Amino acid sequence: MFDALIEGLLLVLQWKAFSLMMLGMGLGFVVGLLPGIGGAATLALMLPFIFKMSPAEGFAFLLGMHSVAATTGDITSILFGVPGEAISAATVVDGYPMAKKGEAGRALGAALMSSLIGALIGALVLALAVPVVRPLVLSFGSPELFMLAMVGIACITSLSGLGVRGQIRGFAMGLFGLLLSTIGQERQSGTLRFDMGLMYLWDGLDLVPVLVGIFAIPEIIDLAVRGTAIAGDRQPENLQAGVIEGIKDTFRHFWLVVRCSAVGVFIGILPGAGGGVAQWVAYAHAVQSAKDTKDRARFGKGDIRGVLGPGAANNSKEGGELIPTVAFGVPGGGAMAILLGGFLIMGLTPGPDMLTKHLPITFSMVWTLVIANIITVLLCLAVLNHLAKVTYVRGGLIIPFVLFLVFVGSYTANGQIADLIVTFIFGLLGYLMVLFGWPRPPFVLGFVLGKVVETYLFISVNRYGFSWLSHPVVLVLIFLMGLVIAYPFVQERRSQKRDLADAL
Amino acid sequence: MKSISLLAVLAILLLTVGILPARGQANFYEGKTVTLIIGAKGAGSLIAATQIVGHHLGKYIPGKPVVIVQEMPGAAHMLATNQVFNVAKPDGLTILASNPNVAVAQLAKVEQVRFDVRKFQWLGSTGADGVALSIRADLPYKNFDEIRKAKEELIVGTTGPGSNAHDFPLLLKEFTGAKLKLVSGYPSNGDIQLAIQRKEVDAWAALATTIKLAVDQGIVRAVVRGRVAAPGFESLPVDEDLASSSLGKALMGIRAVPLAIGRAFAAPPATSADRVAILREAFAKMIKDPEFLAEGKKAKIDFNYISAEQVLKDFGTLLNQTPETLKEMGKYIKLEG
Repeated sequence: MFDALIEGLLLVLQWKAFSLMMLGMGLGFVVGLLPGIGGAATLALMLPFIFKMSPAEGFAFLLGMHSVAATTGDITSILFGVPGEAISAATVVDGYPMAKKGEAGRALGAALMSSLIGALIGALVLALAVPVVRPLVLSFGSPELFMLAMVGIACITSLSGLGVRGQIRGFAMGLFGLLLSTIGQERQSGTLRFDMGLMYLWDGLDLVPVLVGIFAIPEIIDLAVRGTAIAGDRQPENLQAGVIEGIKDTFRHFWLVVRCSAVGVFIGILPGAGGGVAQWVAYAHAVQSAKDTKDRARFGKGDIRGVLGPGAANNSKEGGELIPTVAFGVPGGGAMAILLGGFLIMGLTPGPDMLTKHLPITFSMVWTLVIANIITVLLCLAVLNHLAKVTYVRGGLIIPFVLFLVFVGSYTANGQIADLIVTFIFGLLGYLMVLFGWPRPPFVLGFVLGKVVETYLFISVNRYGFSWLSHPVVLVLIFLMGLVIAYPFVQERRSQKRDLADAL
Repeated sequence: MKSISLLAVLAILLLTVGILPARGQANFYEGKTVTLIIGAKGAGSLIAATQIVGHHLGKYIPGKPVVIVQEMPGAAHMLATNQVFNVAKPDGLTILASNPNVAVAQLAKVEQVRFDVRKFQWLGSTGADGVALSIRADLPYKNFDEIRKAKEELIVGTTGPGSNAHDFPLLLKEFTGAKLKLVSGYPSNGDIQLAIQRKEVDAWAALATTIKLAVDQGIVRAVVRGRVAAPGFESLPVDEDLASSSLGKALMGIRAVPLAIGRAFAAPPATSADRVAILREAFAKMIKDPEFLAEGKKAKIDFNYISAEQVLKDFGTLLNQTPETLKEMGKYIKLEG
């Protein structure tokens, strides 16, 4: 195995593979920065170029591009409040308020450093998981995947506001998300639901226009109404100091970053959970790490931990997602599905062979993730100062540019005008949610997990009756779900007791 | 002398008239981009085959245009089919990489169908693909007959009604007496294959190319196939021969036609005859290209040329069903999920 590890490294370091990786990274950098234009859409466009490449070269090119897009997507999320990628939407929640407070440099420094640590952990796990990956993935059947999605949904308690009112609003939004996830053709019987006679809705709503609409449009409206720069009328901060502070923050909360990376890897490993979920669960975990309710109330208003958690998770999950893709041919997310297309073109069959005969190629993927992320973060740190200056440019100059990119990004999801309409409708919905104080993250979590929950619940019941409820892993996950739901309430009660004791 | 010069002028004129259209088309395609529209995204043999076509078709069209693949997923290929039929300019620059299953939706008179497969300008197909039902490699059943006589139902994982994964075992269950229980809703064939490996399901049907890969990995054994015989599966029993009723045979026959048509390509209906002729010729030449075939082999896709006439004839056969069959069809064959 050690030989394969070295061989994998040498494959990536060959001049051709390395140059292609750099080329891919350059493309990924731009694509990640452009709001909404996903790494997956770009990967699909790049597939025709890999015909003449060897597998190691092809994957260096594609993965180099993809892993960079995940990192630079955070930059757009922080600077404009517009998700650069569907997988970096959670970074908006605390990253953008930081930019508004004039702390863009700090948020960017933290996002980049946590992304790097996340990517390294993801790659390390991918490398270490090779011998145990098959039994691990095989131990998660449909009932276990259903329960895991339920644990994800339970995170709504942490993503909602404090108090009874906050929780009710959070759950209402989560349920609304679940409801919208049922739009389209139902998988079991093929029945169409809420399709309004439109073929566009047969496959359900696409995540990209929904996310871009719900997060980007309200922020753009807000910026237009304020009539100032993103960072208000503040004098520019000392950006370099801010970036260094952000890097230091990553190490101040090092264990949080490690835990969120682990969350990302684990969710990535399990096929079906989807890349959109990891960032939110990691964000919820960051919220749970708050010491008390006062500490928790800082989230959503520009807490650095809210940037670190999702930043780490959305890069670590790349390593995780590669595991089912490589070992079983089951893509962990949209981008991995395209990568699977790359496997076919390059004549590789995902499966046990990738862990034995083609192990060096699998390891070359690990090395690509590591090298591409290190280079990106170093390059980004060098240009961050200039990027963060954007937050001091007058809103009137920024808005047309961002608005244009938002709609272009949405359009690339399916190449249909309806994508733009969905963006607009969800933009309006997002604006109303912000205006009346209804939280957006629970909605997104419900929307992303809705289909997963429905699919695996149906399969579990159809296949096992109700005996699946006694599966050991299911029982553990039920217990975990209970903990996740109860934790914010326990935290609140503890905080009240402490306040009472202090008052006495 | 005069007559010679007259002849020369005539000859030049004739030559010009003969050559001009071809040159004109060469000029037309020069510097242009031909778009192959496919109604799916992600991975899959149809997408890979379309990418390979996109890689080679351009060099056989006079003027060597750039060929790109555009994914337009939605409603089981119907969105893309509607788009190319109704919206795309019929200028020979837009080609549909079709899923012939859409013809079943046309047959079923689905409301959203805004096309007629018989009116497309078909360019031909890059080859048929079969369908096969496979069972977990560790199960004791050796052949299809043993599955019929099995004590317990075999659990078949499917993606949902309308797909090969669902309809093929459904018709086997209904019309051959095979003891099968369908559990539908798996997101993709990859997920079903994974469920097979963790023993959550016992059986799985898919395109023969896909099943073959799993057979080669020792995960499953193929036990019965559809009418189209994919390489390696020729000796398996055919579903239509096992069906006990004429309705069963007819329905299985309907399912078999789109598979026989395979990966077919079409230009919009009003495309001019000369451009269609150029595209058809390019398509036919491309399929003989050794590089093209080698790339197919690498991707484990067998390319075989099926002419435009044959594609059109097969669609005609598919759409020519008796009212009784059509009435019964809705119960068993639904839209692709």
